[in-house]
Amino acid sequence: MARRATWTAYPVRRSASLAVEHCVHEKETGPVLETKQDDFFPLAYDKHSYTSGMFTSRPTFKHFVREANVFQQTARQLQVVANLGNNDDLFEEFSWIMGVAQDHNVISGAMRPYVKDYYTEKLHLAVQGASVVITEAINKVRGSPTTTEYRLCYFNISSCPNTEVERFYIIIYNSLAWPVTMPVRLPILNKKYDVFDPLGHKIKAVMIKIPDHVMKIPKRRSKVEDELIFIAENIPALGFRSYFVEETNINRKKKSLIKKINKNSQKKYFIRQASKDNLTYFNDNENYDDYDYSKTETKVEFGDIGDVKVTNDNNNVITPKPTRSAQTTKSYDLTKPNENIQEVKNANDFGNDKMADNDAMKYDLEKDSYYSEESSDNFIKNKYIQINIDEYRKISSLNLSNGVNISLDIQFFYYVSDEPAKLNSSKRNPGAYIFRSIDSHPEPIIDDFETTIFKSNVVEEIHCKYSKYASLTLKLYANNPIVEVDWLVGPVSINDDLGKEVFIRYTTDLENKGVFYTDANGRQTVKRIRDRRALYEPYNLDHIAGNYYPVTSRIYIEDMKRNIRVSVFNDRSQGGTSLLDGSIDLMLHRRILTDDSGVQTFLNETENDVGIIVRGTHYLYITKSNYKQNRLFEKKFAKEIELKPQILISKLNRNTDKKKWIILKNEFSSLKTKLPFGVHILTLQKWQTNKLLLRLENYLEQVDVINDGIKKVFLKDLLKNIKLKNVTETVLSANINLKDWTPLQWQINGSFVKNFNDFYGNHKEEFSTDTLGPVRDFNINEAVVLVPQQIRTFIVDFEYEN
Amino acid sequence: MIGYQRLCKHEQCPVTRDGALNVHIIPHSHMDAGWVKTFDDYYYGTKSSVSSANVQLIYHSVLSELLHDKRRKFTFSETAYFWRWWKEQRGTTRATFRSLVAEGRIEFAGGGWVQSDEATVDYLQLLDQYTWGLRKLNDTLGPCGKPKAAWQIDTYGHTREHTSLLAQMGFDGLFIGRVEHRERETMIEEDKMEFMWRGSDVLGKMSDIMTHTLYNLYNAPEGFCFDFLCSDEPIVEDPDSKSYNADKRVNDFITQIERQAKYYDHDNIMVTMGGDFTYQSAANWFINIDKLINHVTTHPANMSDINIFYSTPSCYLKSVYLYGRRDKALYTEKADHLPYGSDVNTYWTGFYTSRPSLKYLSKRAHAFLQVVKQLSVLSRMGDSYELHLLRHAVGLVLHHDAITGTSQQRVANDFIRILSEAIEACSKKVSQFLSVLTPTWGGSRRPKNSQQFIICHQLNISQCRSNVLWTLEISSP
Repeated sequence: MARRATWTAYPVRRSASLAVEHCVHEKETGPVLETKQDDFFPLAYDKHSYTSGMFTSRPTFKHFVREANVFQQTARQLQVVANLGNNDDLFEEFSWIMGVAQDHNVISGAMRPYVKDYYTEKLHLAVQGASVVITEAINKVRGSPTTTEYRLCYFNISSCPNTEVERFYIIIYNSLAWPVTMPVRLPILNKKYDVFDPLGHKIKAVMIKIPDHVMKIPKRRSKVEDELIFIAENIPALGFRSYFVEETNINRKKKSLIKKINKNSQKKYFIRQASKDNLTYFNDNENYDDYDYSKTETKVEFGDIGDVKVTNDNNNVITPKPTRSAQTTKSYDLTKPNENIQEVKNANDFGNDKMADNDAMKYDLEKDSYYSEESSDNFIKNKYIQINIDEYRKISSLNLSNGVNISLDIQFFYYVSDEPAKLNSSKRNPGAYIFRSIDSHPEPIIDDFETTIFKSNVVEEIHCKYSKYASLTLKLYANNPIVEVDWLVGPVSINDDLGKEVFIRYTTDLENKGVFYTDANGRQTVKRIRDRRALYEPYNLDHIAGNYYPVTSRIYIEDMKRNIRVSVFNDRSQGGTSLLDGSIDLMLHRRILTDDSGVQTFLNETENDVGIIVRGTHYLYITKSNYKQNRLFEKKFAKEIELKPQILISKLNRNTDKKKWIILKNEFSSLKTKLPFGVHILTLQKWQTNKLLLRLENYLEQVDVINDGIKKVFLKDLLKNIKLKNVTETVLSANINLKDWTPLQWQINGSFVKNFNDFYGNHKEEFSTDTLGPVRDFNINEAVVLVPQQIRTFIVDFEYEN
Repeated sequence: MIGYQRLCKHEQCPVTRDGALNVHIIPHSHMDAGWVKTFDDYYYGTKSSVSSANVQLIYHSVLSELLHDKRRKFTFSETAYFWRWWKEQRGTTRATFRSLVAEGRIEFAGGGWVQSDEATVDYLQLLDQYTWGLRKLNDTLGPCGKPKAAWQIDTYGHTREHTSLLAQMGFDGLFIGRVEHRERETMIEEDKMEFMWRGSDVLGKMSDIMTHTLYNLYNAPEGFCFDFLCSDEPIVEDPDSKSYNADKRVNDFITQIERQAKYYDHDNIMVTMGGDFTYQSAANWFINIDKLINHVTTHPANMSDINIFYSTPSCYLKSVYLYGRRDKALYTEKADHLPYGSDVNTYWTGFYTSRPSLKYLSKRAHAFLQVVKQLSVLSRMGDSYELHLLRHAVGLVLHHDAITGTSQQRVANDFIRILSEAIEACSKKVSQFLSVLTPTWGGSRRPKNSQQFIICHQLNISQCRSNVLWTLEISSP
């Protein structure tokens, strides 16, 4: 009901005159169209041949395109906000390759190897070009000499010549319209370093060992074995922050540093950390202002991860405040122990029993916090999550601080790729598009299993080697409800002449009853049901390949009874499914010896005749499923992966000096006013001289929001130093003025359901009744109103204010 | 806006005939931006041992073939290739291309930088590539170049989100090629080859788009791929030739399109004539499609009154949209806003009943002929195809002038078409005389006997109506 009112109150497009005309034609016999509300996945040529392989094919290329996109968006923003000269030629190049990369035979991974090499080089050049623009802008804003240079790191192999020195600084640029907190990992010499924020304050940092499997990547020539890790908190929106890193003075006593962190001190440390950091994690940058406002003061309590108490005041500003300090931690819900779950008495150790231990508070972090230690513990944890390993030192279960306990197994598998010719079958060959396993049994990859646990004050890690060619690192950062899974696969052996499809399976004890959800193009969420299709009855469905769907940013399963949702976010497109209840599979890498296109194009990626190694990240997030604000968090987090802030490193220079560094402007945001939660500045780029292209997005979905989810933004308060004047609203592609566009009025047979995900599998037949209102001229003084999932596009006249 | 509308002449869409099976022939070429070759290799034709594809050749070949016959149309899609080609062309070639776009004979469908993948791409990058491609079209071709139909004919699966974005970009319809085999069967059973697709529940109508599932992926009907990449036989229409096959071939074609017609719920079907990197030798295609159109029209097997003509995706959409609507003219009132608003019928109604107009036109044509003749002598260009066309048109119309009043409407219409086409062709020629545009007009394949005109009067006549009007407007003192 409320929603319907919304549509009339905030009309979006279509002129009133047309509505009248529509009535005139209503009785006519035009073609009457059937309706469709689901999508077309996965595509199958025939009952054996599903093109669900291409969701994963050429994973390194897919990732590079994503990364290059961040540079493109960053360079475009800075071009505008830093008022640079004309870089049109550069952006022409950038647009060329970024556009070409989206082709259905390119990003899908179907192209030939030499084509891939060619485009990879183009992307590389484009990123270099963007870096020049970014450098120019940053020097201009910082006030540093225009000759100051920055470098990018080979983070994919944890190697960086410019940080493997005694003194350097970094700049992190955040192209999102809200502040982002993220861990920073920099390869360094085996020495103690200090990290300084722009005010010159030393911030907490640790050193941790780079996993063995990463060190052994053949291309990695660096001898460096350690990474420096710290949390960059609240990197400004549409802006950057710089950190200075230098080797600690030698007068510090090294003896005290190597004190072994025993289990006990570890706990003490976490107690302190938990109480301190609760104050900062959910800071007021994150207004979950989707709540139903009322005049009376209401208190809403949420007892989940990122536990916050929300107090409404009459200013409509919600400031989530931490309620769960270690002192108030309630006992953990152990009422549902699962046999698979490791004994959970440790869960109580999250803080409860040690609370009054004042020694913990006195513990000298300054001296002891830098080094990490290999630990003999059978768990890692932070204040939200504990991950346990079993007697075989395999990951076995996960506990949340709010009492949710699930079993968790993470395992690599491969399917042997079908080779019809060998079996005298006439089926199509698998290849870059087509995924077909020779049988339905995946082969587990666990021939050389080894687990090591490392603990430090900023991060705790489980390094898991499964085989020579498959390993992962599980990372739990302090104060972060996300589990990072840093996976590494390759070279996949084909010595047995068998093509292989390597995937990772997260197995929990959730009962999702065949239902799982995947995203579409990193935006909306679409429901999937195992072995089913929404609008037709599949027969002879391939129970493996036919259940794979594209996962562009996220896949999740839910146990409705236990009220738990398990999500995996990825950093590039992958094929994903839930073949067994409680499990999520994501295809990581494919090395296949057959060709499905008939043009002798093989998906056998090699370097120096050896199969390539692929490294990527999954982000695991577990929550109670009925907490709306955690849905909001998930949506926001997905954007923070998609447009992950990028790190520039100062070029190696003897004259790098903290005193010179600190006088420069090392923190900058071009955003004038904080935007409401859920609003994303999707596009900010120069359109032509004195004109901007601006897109604002409300990235929330209806299911996320508590009330109507409508957001308002005032354009005139948007950017610093830039005065926006006349505004023309256009269609999404910016090539038609919205006023000039009138959609055709087709007649349809039947109605659309209000919510496809509710309908599919449940047959909840609630029909949509939306209508569209007239388009009005947009006035710069009015608020831009954004309903959930709406993107509005503007061409704006602007001028710089100084 | 009115100026553009007039200039773009979208009213040039062929007019369909109620009750007939209207067959839209869509010549097109599908150009991947990288697959077995790189973009550059595809564009220049290098690495020909890997693939013979050569995009620049396709552009030139199609362009010159379109100039030979006004009826012919072509649909391009990928702006990345167009832009590369455009940058390398001289002003005169660009002007020719632009005028063909304005006349609705070259159309862009989709118009993104490439035909993007859907499964694996991020929405922001999707938006960027559409914005970039459509902007380039706007910068080069102006409002007439604006695509109205989205064209995702080769993508392996389709997402809801991409669909929602297309609807919000203002596309009038979406054409898709690949559908899961079982789903396709269902769609056929349930009469859903065309459907209204909702891309986003929460955006509702904003995300709705009419979607058409192509019948034969995006390829030509079996046996009718007239490319050197295919080995299908050309059509031989000379009954004296030992290779004569027109009857048999046309029979085969009609069988195929009548089968196709069963799957769509109105009297229009769309026949894609093309494939991957086809039309490097566009003459091969157009010559044979011309013959196909002529013979389908005159073929005895054409019992169900097949109305066959060159068309484009947006003209197809328009025809489907107007199917069954009683008062199509009503839409003209919204001409300035509705992409399909202008409809020739309004003009036409007043025009074809007016014999004085035809007389006037023929007189104008005659006078114009003298001008062209003189100019061609003065510019030492010699005789040209256009001149020939106009000379015959004038002669024909004068000769039949007496009978126009009693002849069937469509015969009269055809005279007007022939005249106006010739006038327009010569109008171009006149400017060519002055600016020396395209040197090679000789070697036309069109036979120079009057039999050609007898065949012509069977043709679709839609283009001529507005041409005539347009010509009259500019030629009136």
